[in-house]
Amino acid sequence: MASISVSGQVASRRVTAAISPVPPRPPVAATHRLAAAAAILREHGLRLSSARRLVIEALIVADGPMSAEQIAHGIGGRVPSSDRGSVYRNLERLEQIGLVAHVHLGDGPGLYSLILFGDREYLACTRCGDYREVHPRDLDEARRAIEDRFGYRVQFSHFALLGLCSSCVVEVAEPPRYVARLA
Amino acid sequence: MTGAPEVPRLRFENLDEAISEMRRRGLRLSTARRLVLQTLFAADGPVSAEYVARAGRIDEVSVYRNLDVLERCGLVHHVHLGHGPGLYVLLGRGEREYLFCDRCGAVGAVTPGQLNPVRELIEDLFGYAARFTHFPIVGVCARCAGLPASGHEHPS
Repeated sequence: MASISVSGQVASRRVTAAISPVPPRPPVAATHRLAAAAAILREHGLRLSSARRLVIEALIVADGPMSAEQIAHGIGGRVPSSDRGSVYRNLERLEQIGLVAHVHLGDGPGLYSLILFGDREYLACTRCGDYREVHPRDLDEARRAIEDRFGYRVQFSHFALLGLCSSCVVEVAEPPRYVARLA
Repeated sequence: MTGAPEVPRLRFENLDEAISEMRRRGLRLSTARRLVLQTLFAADGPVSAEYVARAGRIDEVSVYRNLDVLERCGLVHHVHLGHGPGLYVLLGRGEREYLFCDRCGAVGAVTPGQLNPVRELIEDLFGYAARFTHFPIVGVCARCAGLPASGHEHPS
């Protein structure tokens, strides 16, 4: 494999803490999420302030990873909205203590989720934007194949595995049928 | 959602060939465009628009505009290596897919053929046709993982 050095921006980029030093947490039952989150905050000497509580509640009601913007808007009004600056600050803090993680499902901002339920990895479609959340063990075979060939120990938790989903693969391969029907 | 246009990739080995491919597609060769191409040929990997502007001494706005044009015409494409802006690279010698170390920033470039076994495995498991041209496979490189390096040379 060719290894290349990267000039410019990349060389000076801050090394991210994506491969988190925080050990994975055991899964937590849905009803205990807020209590579990509060306990983790306490472990780190942090209070469950009302601003933090809003962020955590937003992430609990969310049915997938959400942008800071969506969290500030209360997940489409499902929880009270909050100040955007405070959301960013709290997400950063919660990510530092390993309660929250963000993922990139393609272009666009990082999307946040609680990691009370154990780690998750993602596959995302670059055409339709759909994504799939999978348990890390489901990707272990692919991970081993990559490590055997290239020595990279990879994770799809911070940057999703991107490509075309099965429906888009079919649509790209087959041109729309209506053209034929019109004839 | 993704800004990478799907266009046929052009083949070229050097600046002259790139310029004639460009002209064949009806594009003018402005001074800025030549400088952008020259800078990309001189770079040994994907570089940011900011780098192109600095290294080629070209106005940044003009760099963005020209990279966009060159990408639409299939001479250049961009890849996202971790956080930060897209990085641009010439396509002339064929498409590359990337592995990126999230810890030290090392970048591995491989030909699509080298990743086909992995791709097939992913397609069998999930039905996804994975591509690592626009977004790389992200993880930790062999050195950072504390493993014996297997054919991976660490940039020093």
